[in-house]
Amino acid sequence: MKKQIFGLCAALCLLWTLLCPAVAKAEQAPFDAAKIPFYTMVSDGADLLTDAEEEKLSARAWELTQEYQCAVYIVTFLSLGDMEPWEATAYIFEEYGMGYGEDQSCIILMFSTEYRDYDIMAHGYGNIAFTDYGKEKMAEAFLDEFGEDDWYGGFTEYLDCCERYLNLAAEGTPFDVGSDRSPLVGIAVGVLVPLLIAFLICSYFKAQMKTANMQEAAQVYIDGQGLMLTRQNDRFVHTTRSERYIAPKQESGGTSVDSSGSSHESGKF
Amino acid sequence: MATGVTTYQCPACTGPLHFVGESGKLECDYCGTTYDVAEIEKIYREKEAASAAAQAAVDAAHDRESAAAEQMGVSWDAQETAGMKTYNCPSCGAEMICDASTAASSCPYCGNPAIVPGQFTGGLRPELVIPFKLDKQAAVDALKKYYQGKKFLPKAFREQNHIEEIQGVYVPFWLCDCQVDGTATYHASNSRTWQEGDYEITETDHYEVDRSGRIGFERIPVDASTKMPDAHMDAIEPYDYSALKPFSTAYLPGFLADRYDVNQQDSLPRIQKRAENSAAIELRNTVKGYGSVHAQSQSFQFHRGDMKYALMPVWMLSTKWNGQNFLFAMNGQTGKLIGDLPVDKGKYFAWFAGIAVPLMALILGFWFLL
Repeated sequence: MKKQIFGLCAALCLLWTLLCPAVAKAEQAPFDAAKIPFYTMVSDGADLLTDAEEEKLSARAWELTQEYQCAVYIVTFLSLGDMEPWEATAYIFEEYGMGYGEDQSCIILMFSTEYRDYDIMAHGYGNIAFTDYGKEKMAEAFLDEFGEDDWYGGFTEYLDCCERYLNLAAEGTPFDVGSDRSPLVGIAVGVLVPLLIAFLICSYFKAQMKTANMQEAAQVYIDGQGLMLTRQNDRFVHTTRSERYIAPKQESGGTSVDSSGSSHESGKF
Repeated sequence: MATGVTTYQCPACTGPLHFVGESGKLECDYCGTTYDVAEIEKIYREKEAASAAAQAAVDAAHDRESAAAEQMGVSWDAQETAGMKTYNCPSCGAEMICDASTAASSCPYCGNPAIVPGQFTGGLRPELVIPFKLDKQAAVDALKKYYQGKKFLPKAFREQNHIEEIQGVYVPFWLCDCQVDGTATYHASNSRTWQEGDYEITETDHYEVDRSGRIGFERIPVDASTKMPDAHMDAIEPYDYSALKPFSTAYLPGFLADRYDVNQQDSLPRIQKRAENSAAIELRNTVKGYGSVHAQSQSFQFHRGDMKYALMPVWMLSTKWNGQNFLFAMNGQTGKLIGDLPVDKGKYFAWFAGIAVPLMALILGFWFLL
């Protein structure tokens, strides 16, 4: 337990040193994104990245932050202590006044290597650009790489998703339920279904043109007694059981925001 | 002159008599007097017996003439005369050449209805008949009505179409009583589904179901004429058997009639197939209370019962369009009319496109714009 607390404290200290310029500003006045040094966008407390990789990712995250006025962060820890992943992310967000502008718009990817936990937190404008469905799909995109310990690949995937979602949100159509439907599926449904309906209706009308058909049965001529059953036996044989996984429904779309104005997507990788 | 044909003439004016379905009586074309079937039957019973005997003489004379003609080298060859018979019209004396199975017709020269009683003697005599109830005009009206609402019917067919031929025909049928013993085994199941967390659980109870039973059928009809298309005759069923009457040639004047040329034995497979299919349906209908039922094995034993020879009233209408014949049949008792119609490919594709294209626009629009 002591070790966990120590790990979290060490990570927070490291984060503090990285975020200190921005935090110092936040203590005095509303967060001024323009003054965030680019290197604070990536805080690699778990030491998963080389310096060059960290620098590269930081530079790209900073570019996205500036372009879309929504801070894009990557934070890693060795351990979260007793905290739940979403609690840890909310904690550092509050503690260090992270985010861009007055509404502290941001997206934070936090994960801890001890129990392989991750959390994606959005705030402010981030809640618009990163819907629940968007965050879920984003996690699916980078979890494969994290599962194979390809940290740089996973973070790059994360930044790619951020860029795509921020771009879509800037165009007025945030990535949400239905945004990732393939145009081919749309074309297939839009063409095949009408063709099938037209075929069925036309077949019905065409069948009316051909009425000279042989009779296959003689129900009309069954005598007054009808069927007389001579044997009737219903025997139970066995019972079978099957299970089917039901994927959670994502039909409503949008973003579920908690009382602090943030939204989360957590899990393990 | 001895002939093999009887014409039903009005006892009052000797004009030709026709059976009128609406009134159920025979009516004189000239003076309009009507007669009950029984009344005319009585008058003509003796005449028909004489006609049948005369037909034998005509056949013998015909055979002699044919032999003589053959010697002179001017005869019809065997193929040409196969299945044909000659009769003399009692009204005008003209020679009528008919199919061997023709039992009632009309003289092509004087137009008088002509009955061939010899076709209905002995084992060839039908036991029952359903008299015509609907007349020619009803058949024409039914055909016009039949065209209505047919989306793919070519406009030209509807507008330019003229009925080429319309004939009331008494078609020979076998009416077969039979029984079927059937045994069937089914696999049946009932399923329950519920949700446990992220999983949908389905539990299915499986059953083996056996059924055996006997089912009887009364008067399954099957047409006994090779001239009549089976599909047409099947499709105009059913007839109302309460109108069945003991056979009398007095119902025939004014209509064509054929004697049967498909015997009972050859008709049985069609009856058997229908009876067994119905037995399968009835057995299946007793398997209740299951969500799913599949037949695993079925076996049937067909027992033939009494088979009665009957004549049924059918209006046959034929038209020609674009060099193709279209044949319609109407039940002369119930008015049910059937027949295959030509399909206008242009209309078909116009309808197809008219449904498919707006739907495509709607679905693709929703898909990509929303």
